Amino acid sequence: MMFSRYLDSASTIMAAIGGQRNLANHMHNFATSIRAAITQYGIVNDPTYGQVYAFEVDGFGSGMFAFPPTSLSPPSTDFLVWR
Amino acid sequence: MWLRDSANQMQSYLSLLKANTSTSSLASLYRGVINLQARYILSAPHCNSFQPPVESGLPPTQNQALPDDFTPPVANTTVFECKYELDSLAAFLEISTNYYQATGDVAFFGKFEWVSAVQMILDTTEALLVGTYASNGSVNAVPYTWMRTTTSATETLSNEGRGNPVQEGTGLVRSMFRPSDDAYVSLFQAPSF
Repeated sequence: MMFSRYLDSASTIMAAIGGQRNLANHMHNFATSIRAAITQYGIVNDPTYGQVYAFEVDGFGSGMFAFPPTSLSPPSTDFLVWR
Repeated sequence: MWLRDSANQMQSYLSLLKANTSTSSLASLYRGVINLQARYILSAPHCNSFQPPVESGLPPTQNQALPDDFTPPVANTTVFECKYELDSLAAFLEISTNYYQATGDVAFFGKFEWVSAVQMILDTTEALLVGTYASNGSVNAVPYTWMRTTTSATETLSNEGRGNPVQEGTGLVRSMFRPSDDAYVSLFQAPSF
């Protein structure tokens, strides 16, 4: 969440530098693909709250739930409002 | 200097940051942090904490009595600790974003090593998209391993420094340590990536 969100915002710096359009696109596309992977693999079902972001996953189906305070960080990085 | 901590310490000043070319300005302090972090990332992109820059005249500090065993190896006179934490690289991108959005100083980013550091971050993270096992069941080579002589399970990595297995082809970036510097149980960590 933090990495993909700031990789995307840093891609706008790279685009503004001039002459780095390919690298800027690369950064944006990588950020977008990570976001899609988070949506696909990082959301798990909680018996009480339904669909929630896991704290950690392994991609095989195992995962860990809340581990404060790190799990409280997504709002602070604007990941949840980043589009 | 810790990449994550130095970036977050600067957040305290963010509301006061504005464009300023003076070397005694807050903007110059931001530029110094970003440039120093870029230097560190280019020298050892998997590491989270670095020895003082040579310009400071401060001697390196030894972290552990028995030096950590990790690949790719970096001298402990350059690096204080080399736990790979994705949020450390994210912190560099965060402070870069903070500085750019507050000052609009795009020229700074083209002038020094920022572009090279970003390329290094991409190379490092994309190499860690690899899963633990290949489709035929063999174990893939991993570009980073880390082990410490310790009595605490969260201070070293299982599977000879590789960490627990992760699935191939998810599009998630593997990371080995949490922002708390503890080892992960499952190596794809949502808040970091």
